[in-house]
Amino acid sequence: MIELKNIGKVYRTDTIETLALQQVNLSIRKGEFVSVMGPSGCGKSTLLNIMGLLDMPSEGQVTIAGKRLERLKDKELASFRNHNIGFIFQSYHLIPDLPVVDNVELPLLYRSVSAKERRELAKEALEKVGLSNRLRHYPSQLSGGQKQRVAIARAIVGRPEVILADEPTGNLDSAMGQEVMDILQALNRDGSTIVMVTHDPNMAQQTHRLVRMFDGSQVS
Amino acid sequence: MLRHLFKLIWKKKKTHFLLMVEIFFSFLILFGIFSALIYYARNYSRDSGIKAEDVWVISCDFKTDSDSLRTIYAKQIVDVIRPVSEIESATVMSFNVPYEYSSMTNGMEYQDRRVQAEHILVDEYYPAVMGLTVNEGRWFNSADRVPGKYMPIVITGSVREKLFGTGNAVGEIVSDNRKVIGVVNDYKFQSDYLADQPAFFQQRSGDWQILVKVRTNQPGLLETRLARTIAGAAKEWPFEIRHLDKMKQSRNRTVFVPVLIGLIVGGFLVFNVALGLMGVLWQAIQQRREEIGIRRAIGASASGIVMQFLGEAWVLTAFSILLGIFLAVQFPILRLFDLDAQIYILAIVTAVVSIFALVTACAWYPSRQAAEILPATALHEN
Repeated sequence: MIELKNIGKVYRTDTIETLALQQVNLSIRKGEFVSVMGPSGCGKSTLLNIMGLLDMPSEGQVTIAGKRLERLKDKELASFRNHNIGFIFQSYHLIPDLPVVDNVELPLLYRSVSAKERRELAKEALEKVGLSNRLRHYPSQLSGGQKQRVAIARAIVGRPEVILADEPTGNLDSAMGQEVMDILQALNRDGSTIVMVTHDPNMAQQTHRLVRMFDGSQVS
Repeated sequence: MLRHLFKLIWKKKKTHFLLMVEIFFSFLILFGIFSALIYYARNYSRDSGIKAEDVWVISCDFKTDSDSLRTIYAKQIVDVIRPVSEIESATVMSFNVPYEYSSMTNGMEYQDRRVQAEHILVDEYYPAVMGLTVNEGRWFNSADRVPGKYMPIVITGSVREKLFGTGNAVGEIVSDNRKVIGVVNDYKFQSDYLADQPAFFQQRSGDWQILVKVRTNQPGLLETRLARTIAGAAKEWPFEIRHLDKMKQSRNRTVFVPVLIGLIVGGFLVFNVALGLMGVLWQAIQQRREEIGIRRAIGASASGIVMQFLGEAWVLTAFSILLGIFLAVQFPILRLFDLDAQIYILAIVTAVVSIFALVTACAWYPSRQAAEILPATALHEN
């Protein structure tokens, strides 16, 4: 499903060159639930950004669903992300001015989907995460766990094959974190391929495979 | 997407209030500027009906209050200058010479219609000197000097339109004792930038001014010769020779300069508003970096982000100018300043197009900057 070959990433400024990733080779099968662990600054998020096409590698090849992606143009990349990848972030990144249902509808705004269908799909996604009774609430009216569930609903509303989660339980207490983990596992059982960056070994244990990173390199 | 933009703007209505007020006032300023510009441009593009080139105005102080004496004295002057070979034609008229600041108006009535018109006293030679064309009927001749039951008058096109509309004008009696014998087309006697004011001509003596049409390549020499000739015939009467084209330029300047000043002040205000708009939009976009990051992550392209912010600016502009359009539409409905409704409608359309162009120009750069925000960076800032 996801193939990373010899991925390297260097951040350059006028005076400093920072090696964020070097020679990372990773293959993730369809339907797999993979967690990525490592100390802060080891390149986990950079790796996830490259998988999610939010950042381009300095070297190497990225292939998702059989498609080479590093040479795509901005519009093609945006469309590919929209149709194939769902993102979940540690700090939720919901738009505070929009109610829950509109936040969830967002990815569908960038497709030709009618308003009615958008609303139905958003409600369906919110039902999956147990928030069908919070459609009109604003993010500020929700708890951290609820916000993360809205973010998950937004990630799955477009039915992407891949879900990339960057420390999705990082801001939650263990009970709420487990709730979110349960939802991710349910999505995985339904066929989604999930890559999750985490600091929490308990969460990592619940995935199919653990990838360890250290100093920009993959160590296991 | 439009509904989505409406929601975003509505939710931030308090934040956007100042911006909306700025756009609203910009629209009103532009409406005012364009109304004036269109009015003056339209007037300028229209034929004045008279030719000021090579026409000189000779003003004599005959030092008498008697109309009949002034008529005799003016004729004496005309008789000595007419034989000068460079004088094509000469005429005498009342003090309200074209482009002069003097004015004499009279009311004219026809059935239930009434118009206030400039009352100009002339002789038979006036059209030849001024290049005036009679469109209907005829100009005065010597027979019209004989007093009769009705006083013959020639009216301008604007009087004709106001009193007779599309009906017949020649032969009609106005204000009980005036009979229309002819109609001249336009007669823009105040300035090229001002509208054609209603006027009518009467063949009669008065406080005479002498107008001559000259044909010369050496105007300075001719003016000296003419001055000498007049001085010979009018030793006790001080006189002055002025050039009608220069009087026209001077009058045009007095109209145009205030407009130009208004344009500069208005332009400066709009420029300031534009800078303010750009600043507010820039700040708004900086505050929404996280939102931009997430939108990019879930499928918005860079051009999509540009279009979103431009779209928001356009929706905001549409909201802001609604009240402005409502106010502007009152001008043609209430016929304020007595301007043609077309001028106001054209000014509204031009102001709407301009304000959208202005907002687009102001929003373009901040929107481009927004689109260049790297999603990975924006999402990790929070």
